[in-house]
Amino acid sequence: MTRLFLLLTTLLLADAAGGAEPGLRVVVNEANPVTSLSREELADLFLKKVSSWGDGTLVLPVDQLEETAVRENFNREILRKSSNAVRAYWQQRIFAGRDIPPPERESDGAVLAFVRRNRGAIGYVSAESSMAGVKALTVRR
Amino acid sequence: MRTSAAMRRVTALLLVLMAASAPPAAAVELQDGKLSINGYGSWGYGATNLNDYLVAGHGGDFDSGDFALALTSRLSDRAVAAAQLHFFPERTGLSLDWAFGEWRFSDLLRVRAGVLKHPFGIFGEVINVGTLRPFFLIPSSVYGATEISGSGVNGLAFSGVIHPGKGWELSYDLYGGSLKLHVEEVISKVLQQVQGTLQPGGTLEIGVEETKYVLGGRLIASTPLEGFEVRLSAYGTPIREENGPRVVVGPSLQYTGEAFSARLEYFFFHETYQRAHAAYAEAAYFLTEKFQVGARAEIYHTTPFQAPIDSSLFEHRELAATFNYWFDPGLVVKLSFHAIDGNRFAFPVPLDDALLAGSLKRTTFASIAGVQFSF
Repeated sequence: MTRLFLLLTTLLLADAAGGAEPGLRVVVNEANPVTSLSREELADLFLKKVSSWGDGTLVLPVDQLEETAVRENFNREILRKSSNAVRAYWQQRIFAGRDIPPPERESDGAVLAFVRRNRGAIGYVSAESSMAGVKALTVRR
Repeated sequence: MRTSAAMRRVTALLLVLMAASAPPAAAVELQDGKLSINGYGSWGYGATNLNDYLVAGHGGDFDSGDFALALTSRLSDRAVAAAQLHFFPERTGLSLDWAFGEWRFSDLLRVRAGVLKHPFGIFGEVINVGTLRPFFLIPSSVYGATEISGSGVNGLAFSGVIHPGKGWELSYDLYGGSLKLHVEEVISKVLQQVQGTLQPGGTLEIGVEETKYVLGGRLIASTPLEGFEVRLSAYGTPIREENGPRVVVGPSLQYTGEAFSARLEYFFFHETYQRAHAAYAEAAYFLTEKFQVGARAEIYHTTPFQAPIDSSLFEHRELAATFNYWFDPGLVVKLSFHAIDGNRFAFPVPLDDALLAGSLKRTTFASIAGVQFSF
């Protein structure tokens, strides 16, 4: 019983410490002072409803490709929308001349490279990715 | 600008081929997202039992089809330039949908200047984008040639968004300049009929009228109920030489869920020569991941002030159903059926001949099949 309690506690702490969802980590540039965001704040950044960080730096969200499991996971757990609903949201924004969706990168490595290169960048990668040169955020519920 | 029938058929064929070959991929994105290329298009076949109705003709009409290409460039952290070209052979030929520069002071204030889409109702800025709605046709009473929704604003616009918390979001648009409206002079036509000045071969043509010194705005409240929003749109012309002050105002309700969506809009329009009411309600539901059904009821009535006359050309009542198959959110085929009462949008061509002969019938049944895509 004690072992089971310890195991559950370890899993909960591990999740609270770094990951957004099982299999997913939200990352920002190392120079970004932010260490945690709520799910709603994160969704607003990726839907470009909020365009700047607290210090005025432009937010540069970067997405994974549509067909990937990590993107599906992010849409469902953070944006709380289906992939189709996200597509429809961006079509409305694009053709109204309001905004364009975040750029897409084809792999965790490409997302991490984008985040390392841009101070205001924010992305998400598989949990097993290396965090070298980036900072993983805690996502508050 | 009009092209030959052969040219229109070639264009329609090209649009179908483009749609059929359109990959489910998204837009072309370059330079780390600083430049984006997007587009949309449609083509449809429509047939009616009697009167012509928009893209549907008595005896069948293959000639509808349009395509647009949008370019958006983020010049710097705060500056954006964007433009959209629209090719619509049957109506406007090649036209500039919008082209503007935008400066983003903050999320609370963005300023744009240039040729802008009309921030009006639910579809005012995306009238021609078929993948954003369940029906092939946009509701004509509100977004057609009724002088309610404009096709574009030349001028200045301010917009912004506020997050009061607890799931609420408020966004606004304020704009001023000249407004381009698609118009059909039905009142003049009915007056000609009353005065006996109709000419054989004459008909109603859609023209573009520019209304100067327009001031308007739109407020959108997104509610804590995910997907449900309320909009209020209004504009007016404090100064107008010809038709006097013009006022258009109305609310919009929209719910878009994963499988179910519903919309309700009503607008009131008043100017020196007429007063009009336009409304529609539509709902759509995905029976499976790909197959969607929808229904719509629509009503329009205008009352002219010049003379106590009434005509079926002032009225439109419609019930419609649609059956759609979505290959992808960016590619859909639609089949719709329409039962129409009134001749505001459904009339024979040439109209004057039917009016002179007293043979105008007010009931029309139409079916429309088409493909719409965007990327």
